This record gives sequence, structure tokens and C-alpha cells, in this order.
Amino acid sequence: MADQALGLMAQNLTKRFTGSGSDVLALDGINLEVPKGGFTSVIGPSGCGKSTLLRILSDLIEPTTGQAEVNGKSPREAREAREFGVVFQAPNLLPWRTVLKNVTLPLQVMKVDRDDRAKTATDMLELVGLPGFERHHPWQLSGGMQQRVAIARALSMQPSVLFMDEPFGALDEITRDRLNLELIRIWAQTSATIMFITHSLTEAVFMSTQVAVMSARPGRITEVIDIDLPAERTAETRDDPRFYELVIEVRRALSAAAGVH
Amino acid sequence: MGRIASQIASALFLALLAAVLWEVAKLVSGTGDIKMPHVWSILAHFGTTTSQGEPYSTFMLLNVWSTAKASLTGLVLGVGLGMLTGIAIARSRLVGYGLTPLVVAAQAVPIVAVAPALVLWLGTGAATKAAIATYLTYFPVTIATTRGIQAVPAESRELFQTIGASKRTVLFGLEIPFALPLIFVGLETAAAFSVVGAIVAELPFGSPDGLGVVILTSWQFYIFQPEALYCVALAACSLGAVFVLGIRSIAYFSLGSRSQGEVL
Amino acid sequence: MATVSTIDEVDAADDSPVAQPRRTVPVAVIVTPIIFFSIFIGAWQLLVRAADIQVLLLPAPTDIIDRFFTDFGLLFELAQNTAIEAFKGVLIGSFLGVTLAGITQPFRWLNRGLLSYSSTVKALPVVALFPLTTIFFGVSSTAVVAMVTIAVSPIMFTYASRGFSGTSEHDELMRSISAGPLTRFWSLVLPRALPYVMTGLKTIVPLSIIIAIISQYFGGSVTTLGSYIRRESTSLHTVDMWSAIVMACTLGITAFVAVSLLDKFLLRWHPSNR
Repeated sequence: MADQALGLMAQNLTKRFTGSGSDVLALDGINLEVPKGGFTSVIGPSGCGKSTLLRILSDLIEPTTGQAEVNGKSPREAREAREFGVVFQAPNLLPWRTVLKNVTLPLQVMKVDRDDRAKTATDMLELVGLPGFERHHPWQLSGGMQQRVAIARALSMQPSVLFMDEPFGALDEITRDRLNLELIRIWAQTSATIMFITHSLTEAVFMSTQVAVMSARPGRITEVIDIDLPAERTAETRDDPRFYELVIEVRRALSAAAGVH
Repeated sequence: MGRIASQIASALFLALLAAVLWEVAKLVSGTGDIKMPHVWSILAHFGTTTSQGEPYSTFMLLNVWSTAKASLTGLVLGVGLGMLTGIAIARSRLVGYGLTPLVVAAQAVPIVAVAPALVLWLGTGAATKAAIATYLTYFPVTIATTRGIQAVPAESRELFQTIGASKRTVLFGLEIPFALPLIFVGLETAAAFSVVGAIVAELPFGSPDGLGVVILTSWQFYIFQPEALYCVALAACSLGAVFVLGIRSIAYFSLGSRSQGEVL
Repeated sequence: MATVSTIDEVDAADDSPVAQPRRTVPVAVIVTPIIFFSIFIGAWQLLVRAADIQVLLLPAPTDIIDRFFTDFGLLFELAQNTAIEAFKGVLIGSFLGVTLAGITQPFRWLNRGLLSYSSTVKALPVVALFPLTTIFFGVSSTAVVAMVTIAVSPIMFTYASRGFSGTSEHDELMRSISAGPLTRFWSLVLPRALPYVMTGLKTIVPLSIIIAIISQYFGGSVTTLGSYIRRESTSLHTVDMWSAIVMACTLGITAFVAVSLLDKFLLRWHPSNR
């Protein structure tokens, strides 16, 4: 029963990378719970293993020890059931496909028929704010737009979980702020569980319901901060004094995490 | 070092594999010994003696050397002229526009078409061999030099401008060092072509010696000694390979990590 | 669950698609080669006439062009046959090269070993191997096709290997949407390898013409350029020989242009074609 309320679960997750002469403990005993429909940001210094954690949960790599669950299933089962979408830091659009065909790629894999695919894709593109760009090619779009197409693609599978690895990291701050608002809107409309990795404190606090702070080498979650801002986030939310308090709290947690080593 | 050792090992292994496949194909298709001599009889042929009484291997080596000399001359000339042309083309945009299509088109002229003309002008001596080899090596080197110099980033040029460098300094301090890896790639092709050129020159033009001549005789008298044609083919390919590997080694040692790829 | 107000106006200018630069070819690019070429031909013509060089040694461009147009029908047919032999070789050789590259992908050591060989194989003197192909196939068109195939496949193998071995973030993407091996092949591996194969083709196609002609020179079907060049050069019909050379050149250039157009068409999405 408790499991069903959890979108994501990591229990004592460890990941050790061994290879030609190197032995790195990337993650050490990670415990994390994200309720269904929650928006959790993971923040930490470079190399703290945030991406590794995301990749374990999305079944892109295997943990060394420990348990991970997505929607109560193992990551592999969830991936094969296509219950989650992944948005990477680079849009990863296939340059030889049009925007529409890029968005329909997962649906093609799922053998959805052509007309349904096109319809879903068009809806998704509208959802991310890119109506009318179906016939464009990736190279004709700006970075922000490409990333939105990547989000549309991830959403086309109607996933209940979304993994996002610093999706706006390569964009300028203005575009990023705008896309933050877009993402919140999409989250509201789809009620997905979101795991969001970022470097930016303001981004983390602005969008999430909880922020997990990680320390590096080895990666551990040192603190999970509940973001008790009002549910409706707007551009004005950033002016809320509580917003700044939370940012300060996260910053403090980050330095504490850094100071641990 | 271990890298090179393992590459040599796999090269030897593949050669062995090829020999095995040859024998298997021969067995399966039932091809006679005339068309497809056994691998060992081909190799054994190197140990025989010619009708003149000298060891076949010495005979082959002498001819290889004759061809190699012509190739080397052609290579050196072709590289020299090619680099000069390449630099000239890269220098001036106008010259570049004008010459590049011509150079590319001239490459399309098959060597066998030009060779007879060269023989008519220069006779059948060593000069023709070198000329043909030069002709073939000239184009890849020119194109590679041009491309290499044109690829120099604008910021680097600006840097040299700000320190008030002379054209000469820019050439030797920036352009050539920068273009060197690409030039070496062109040199590899040129080295291979120089061997081809020398052999082609030796062919129907009554040259006294060289691999081309051996190829012709072995072809003519194939029925009597099928192994000979295979032997000379191996020798010719080996010569070409030696030239190419030679260039790669030079590139590797003078450029280090900047060279495009490893020696083998 | 958080709800949110509609987003602020999108700043259209900021978010607009990246402009597509129009590439106009400067006049100089077309005109200069023509000028250079004309100077070259002009000098040639002058040299021949002024020094009164025998036709045998070096014919004047005017004579050559004249013969070229007179014999155009014949030369065109010769070029066609040559092109067909070269083309067959390219087809078979590319197929072999690509297939071998694909098959050896899972066996890195094999692939690497073959790559070492094929990069040195540029050194294959056609002239040394062509006699061997005639032993197998007789002095015929097939021998020429075989020669082109032998010369071309290692090159295509090298390019295809590079094309198949590249990895990109797209591999992770494919896994994240649980794409099967067939989807992965058609939607990722193949399109990703295509630019490399096309570059390989650009090298191979002009080369195939040259190798075909060289092989034909040494023995092939009589209705080919190489064979014709040999006949005319041995009977000292230099003007005919040169007109054939002009045709060979034209053929080579046409082939190269054809491949370039194919490249532009198939790879509209590639950075090099924007």
C-alpha cells in the first residue's frame, strides 16, 4: 500500500565503477522516496553522482547493491513497460528526422499506428509550446526549442514518471526561467512524478516539492528539504520571501554537504 | 609499445587467416594448381633460382629496389612541388578558386593516358619513371596542403597578426605546423601512388628492370610458372605497404599524439 | 498538485528558429577557374604552334577538341562501357565493404585488424593485381569489374567501419525508450553511418573510373576507354589518344558531380549541407 503512493524509491543504492585501473565509489547508500506526482530536484556539486542515480532509476545502468523502484516495479520492468520518459542534458534529437518524427520516435517503437502517432505528437508539441514546428528540422531550432522537442518526445509516451538530467543546463538564464514555468505547467497538466537534476539552486527551489541535496565522492544524500511554497508557482513566486529563505536553506545544506569531506 | 605488438600480432593472424581461406576456397572450388597455386608453393618460389642462375629472392629484391628508387625520386619531387602549390593556393583566394578545380580535374586523368605521352617526350629511362611518379604524387599532396592550411582557425591567425609576425613566420610558425597532420595523410596516399606510378612507368615501355617488367614477364609466361605472378604481386604490394608505413612512422615520430591515428 | 497560470508572452524574436543562411556562390569561384584554364589551354596552343611541335609529340588543343567532337559518338559509347564496368565494381565493392564492416562490428579485434590492412591497401598497385584477375576471369570485362571491386572494397570498409562504430548520446536515447535492435539499426545506426558512406563514395567513384581505365588499358573489352587509349597510343595516333583522355576526364568529373548531388540529396540534414 505504501509502495503504491511512491513514484520513485531508492533504498541503500550503491554504485561502484571499476575499470582499467580505477575504482570509484560513485554512490554510497542512497535512500530517496518520491511520492507519486511529486517533483523532486536533486542538487549537488559536479561529480556527486546525480546523473548516476538518475541512470540507475531509469535502468540505463545497474546498481552494485541496493534496491530501486519506479511505480512499485523494478527500473527494468518500468522501462520495458515504458512508464517513464527521459530528458537528457543534450536534446539528442535525431538530425535526420523532422521535429514531428523525432517526437513520434518512442511511439514508433511502441508500434502505435501512424495517424495516432501524428496526433499525439502534435498534441505534445502544442503542450510544450511549439505548435506548427512539426516539419522543421532540429538544426533550424534554437537550443531552447530543441530541448522542448525533447520534452515533447519524452511526454509522447504518456509516462507517469519523467527523469530529467539537467535539461536546461546548456541554456541561458532567460530561456531557462521561461522553460521552468513551462515545465511546471506541463507537470500540472500531466500529474507526472518528476525527478529533476540541476545545478541551479533557484531552479530547484522554484519548481520542486522537495529538494534532495547530495555530497560528492562518494555520492550521498545528505539532506532532503521540503519546499513548502504554495502549490501554484508563478513568476511572482520568486519574489516571495519564503522562496529566498528556502534557497538559503538549500545553499546551507550544500555547503554542509561539501564540508563533510 | 604493447599496442604495436598486438597490432602486428593481429596483422600476422589475419595473414594466416587469409592463407587458410585461400586453401579452403581452392579445395572447395576444386581449382587447379595453375589458376590457384598453393600458398606454400607461392612462398616456396621465393627460394628458387632463376634461369640466369641467381636466387629468385635476390632477383626480386633488385627489381624492388629499382622501382623503389624511382618511386622515392617521384615522391620527393611530388611532395616538394605539391607543397609549394598547396601553399600558393591557400595563400591567395583567387589562385585558390582558379587552381583547385583544375587540380581536382587533373586528378581524373588516368595515368595510363599520360604515361605514353611522357614516354614520347622523355624516352624510356629513369627520368620518365620519376616523372610519372611525380605526376601521381603531386595532386594528393597539393590538395592536402591546401586543405590543411585553409583549416587554420581565424583566431590563431589573428594572434599572429597581433604579434606582428611576418608572412614567413606565419608560414613556418603556424600554417605548416598546423597543417602537418593533414599533409601527412596526403603523403600516405602520395607514397602509395609513387609506387604505382613507378610500376606503371616500367610496364609497356621497355624499361630494363623494375617490378613492372617482372610483372609483364610473369604474366606472359604464366603457364610455365604461375607462382611467379603471385610472388611479384606480393612484392609490389609489400613495397607499397613499406612506403605507406614509412610515412606513417615519420608522422608518428614527428607529430606524436597529433598524428592522425597510430602507425599501423 | 501545483497549478500554474499561463506563461508570459513568448518573446518571438528570442525564440525564433535559427535563420537559414542563403549561400550565394561568388562570381569569382566560377570565373577564375575558367580564366586559369583558358590561359593554360592558350599557352599550350601557342607553344605547339609557335615551336611547331609535331602532332606526334603533343597535339594542339584545337586539334584535340576537333577530334573530340568528331568522334564524340564513339567516345561516348566507350565512356559508357567504362562507366558501367566501374559502376558495377563500385556497387559490389561498396556492398562488400559495408557488409564486412557491419559484420565485424561486434568483433573489435577483427575489425581493427582489417582496418590496419585496408588503410595500407591504398598501396595496392592495380597493375600488379590486374594480371591476376585476368588469370581468374580471363581478359574480359569481368576481370576489370573484379579489379575495381578489389580496389574499392577496403576503402568502403574503412569508411563504413567509422560510420558504424561511432557512438553518440542517441544510443542512450534508444535504450531509454526500449527500442529493439531492428529499430536501433534502421533509425539510428544506418542514418548515422550514411554520411561516412557518402564520403567514401566520393572517394571511390572517381577512383573506380581511373582503375577501370587502367585495367582496360592492360586488357579488357575492346569497346572501352582504356583499351582505346592503348590502341591509339601504340599506333601513335596521338590526337585520338588525347581526345579519349579528354573524354576520360569528362567522365571522371561527371561521376564526381553525380555523387556530390546524391550526397546533397540524401544528406539534406547534415551540417555540411546547410
